[in-house]
Amino acid sequence: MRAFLSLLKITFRNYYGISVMKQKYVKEKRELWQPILAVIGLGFGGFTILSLYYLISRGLYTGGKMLGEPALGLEYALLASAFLIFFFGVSSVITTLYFTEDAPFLVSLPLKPFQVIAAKFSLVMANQYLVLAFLLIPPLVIFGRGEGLGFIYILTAVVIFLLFPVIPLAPAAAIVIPLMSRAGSKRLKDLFTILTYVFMIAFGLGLQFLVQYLPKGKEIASLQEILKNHGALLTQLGRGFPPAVWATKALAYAGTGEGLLSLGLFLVLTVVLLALMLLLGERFFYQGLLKGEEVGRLRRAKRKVGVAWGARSPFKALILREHRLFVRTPVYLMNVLPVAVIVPVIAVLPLITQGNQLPVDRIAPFLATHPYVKLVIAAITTFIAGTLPLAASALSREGRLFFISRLIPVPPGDQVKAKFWYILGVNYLCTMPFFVLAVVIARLGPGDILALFILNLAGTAAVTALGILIDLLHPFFDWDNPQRAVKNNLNVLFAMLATLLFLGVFTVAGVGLALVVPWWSGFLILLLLIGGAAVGLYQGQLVLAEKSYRSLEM
Amino acid sequence: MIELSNLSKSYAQGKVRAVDNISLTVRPGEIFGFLGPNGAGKTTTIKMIVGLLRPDAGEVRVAGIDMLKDPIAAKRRIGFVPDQPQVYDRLTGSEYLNFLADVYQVPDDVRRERIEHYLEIFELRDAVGDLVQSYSHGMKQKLVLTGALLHNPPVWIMDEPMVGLDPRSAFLLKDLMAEHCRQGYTVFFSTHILEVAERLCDRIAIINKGRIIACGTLEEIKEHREKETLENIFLELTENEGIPVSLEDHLS
Repeated sequence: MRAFLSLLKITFRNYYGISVMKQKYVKEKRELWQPILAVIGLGFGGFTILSLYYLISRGLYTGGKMLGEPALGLEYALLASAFLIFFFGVSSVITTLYFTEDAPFLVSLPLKPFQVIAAKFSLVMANQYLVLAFLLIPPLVIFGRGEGLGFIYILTAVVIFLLFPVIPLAPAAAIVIPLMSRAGSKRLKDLFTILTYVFMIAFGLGLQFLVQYLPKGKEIASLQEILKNHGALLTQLGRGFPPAVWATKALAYAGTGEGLLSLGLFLVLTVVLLALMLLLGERFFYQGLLKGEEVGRLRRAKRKVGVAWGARSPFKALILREHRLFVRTPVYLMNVLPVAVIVPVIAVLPLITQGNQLPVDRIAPFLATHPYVKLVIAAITTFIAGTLPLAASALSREGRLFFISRLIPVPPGDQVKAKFWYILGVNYLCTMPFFVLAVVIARLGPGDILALFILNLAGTAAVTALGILIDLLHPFFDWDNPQRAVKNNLNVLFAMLATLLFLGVFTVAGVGLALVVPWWSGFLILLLLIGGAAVGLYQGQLVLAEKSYRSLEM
Repeated sequence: MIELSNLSKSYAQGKVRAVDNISLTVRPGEIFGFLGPNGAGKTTTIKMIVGLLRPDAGEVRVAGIDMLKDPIAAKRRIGFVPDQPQVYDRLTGSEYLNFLADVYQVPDDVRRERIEHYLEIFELRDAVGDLVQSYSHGMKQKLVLTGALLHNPPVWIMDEPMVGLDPRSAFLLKDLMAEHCRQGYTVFFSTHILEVAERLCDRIAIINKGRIIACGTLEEIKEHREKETLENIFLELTENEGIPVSLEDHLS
């Protein structure tokens, strides 16, 4: 038990970099602005989204109560949490179990496979609590307060909250572990990662569709209407996943015999699933870890490859390196390309779901009388580019291999130039689907299209340089799998906030110009301002690159 | 070819002195061994020579070029093999080598010839089209060695290059080091394997606690010392460092 606890401690310390943070922020008291800014940024973003979700949860609770089933909203929240954790958990389980740097080291220790699995699984669980807190705490609070429930309810809620990730995650791990023992390769992980993201996109679009389906200003009433009409169907769905029903009953009837029985069933299932996963882990886990090497060598022995050697300029070579590492790392690819698809779909959805309520035909005449509104298109495309994580992780994505960039005889400014032009290309391409859709819907003329095309380029260039600048100031190199380089990288969040600030400033400028000068003059002034900002930021990143590359010691 | 003058580097805001005012000259056509116990300052010194770390004080010149003043020109003259063979996992071996040849601006025909030559020597020809993530530690080490030699650098620097190599590859590496020196170029490497240093190096420096405590040819180091082997001298020089004289007397 002592060995396991020690392993657990070290796993958490290593993954979250607790010792590093302690050394940096507590002992040396360096760069304290980072955690402060992170808390502010996350707090602000979290509060905004949570407020919206709280409203939806309230609507579900009220709707359920009207139907005589006040716990219905809670059940749906539990059901949604279980499905979300299951699908996102698959990728997390594979990464944490098989693709962290300490996995081979742990195999060499006198620990049983199930102990290693248990420690790693605890880590995956801990990572889900943030999502779970977001999804479950609002409905739990609303239900508890609404029904006036007391201490036993709170106690039951805490137990269910802490154990709930086991039910979706243990089956995910139980599926993954035997699979990985058969085909233990990075390719399988890549496949799972892609599938997870595809699901995420589908889920996101589904949610968006639901939101669009609700008439504006009458969201809560509409949710109640949906519950009334489709309540039986959703309840049936819940019956198909009994743990959600048990958890709901344990909470709704907390302190009664039925509540205790439901809690008992929930706990028994949790223990059984955990035991099953640990048993499978004991049997297959190390096989999967050790198999990756064999697969690579077996394939090599079977074929010989003709290789082409050809010279390129260093600039082209750097662009090609960026491109290859981007397209061959599914996590990077799937964090970027879906945005290009999702945003236009979200834009089109109102047209599909609200039919003739949205007067498409009236857009063009409206823009003719209010030409400045066309700038919204460029603002949205710039926002899309600013939310893409490539620029804000331009250096971070190199991780510990950044030393290669510091070794090669290419000036840092040139290296950053290559990164900038490549990322600008990707970002700009990702804004294109929305751009094309927008100009088609708005029926813009060639002059307007060209103007917005150029403005979009200037805006995208500015936010791309802004993202790279942020990453140059403080790159995040200490990651052991690419997912963390993007997902755990606060620079991505900072870049998004900086983009919002950038857009805020230019929105004010645009509104100001609209009041005093005609459209084309205003447009040209705005283009000059944004273009000037882009050139300034571009030059700024080149200057900073020379300084940063020298000072970033590793 | 390599000149270090009063080089110093500290960590933890000056609390740990990793390299303490060292000066060293490595001549053209010389194989130079850099020895020292763990944590003596070998890797820190090497990282300062190749431009990965910035010295707190002192100067590094590579092939007559100041690393701090003109790092790009200095780096062009260096081939570096780090202590861990870290390579982009998602590139193939050939893509990695082509990338290095491009950034070091190795002409088309020359790169073709050199790459083919080293792939043959290190038996990597069949693997070079595969993703690096499928390579073993030794294969990655050989790929990194090939990459470091592609531009035929006047100064070849290696940090523990024998680690992870099989006996045949280690033998080949020693051969390559000798061949490199025959061209009038310099080889500088750190090692724990004293036999290799004894047999291969023209000159040796021993570093301990950030200071050079011996430097010269093996004969010069052996002079005035009773010990016969490099191992004994190494142990003698590094063992008692830091033990107070009174305690040393007491122990003896």
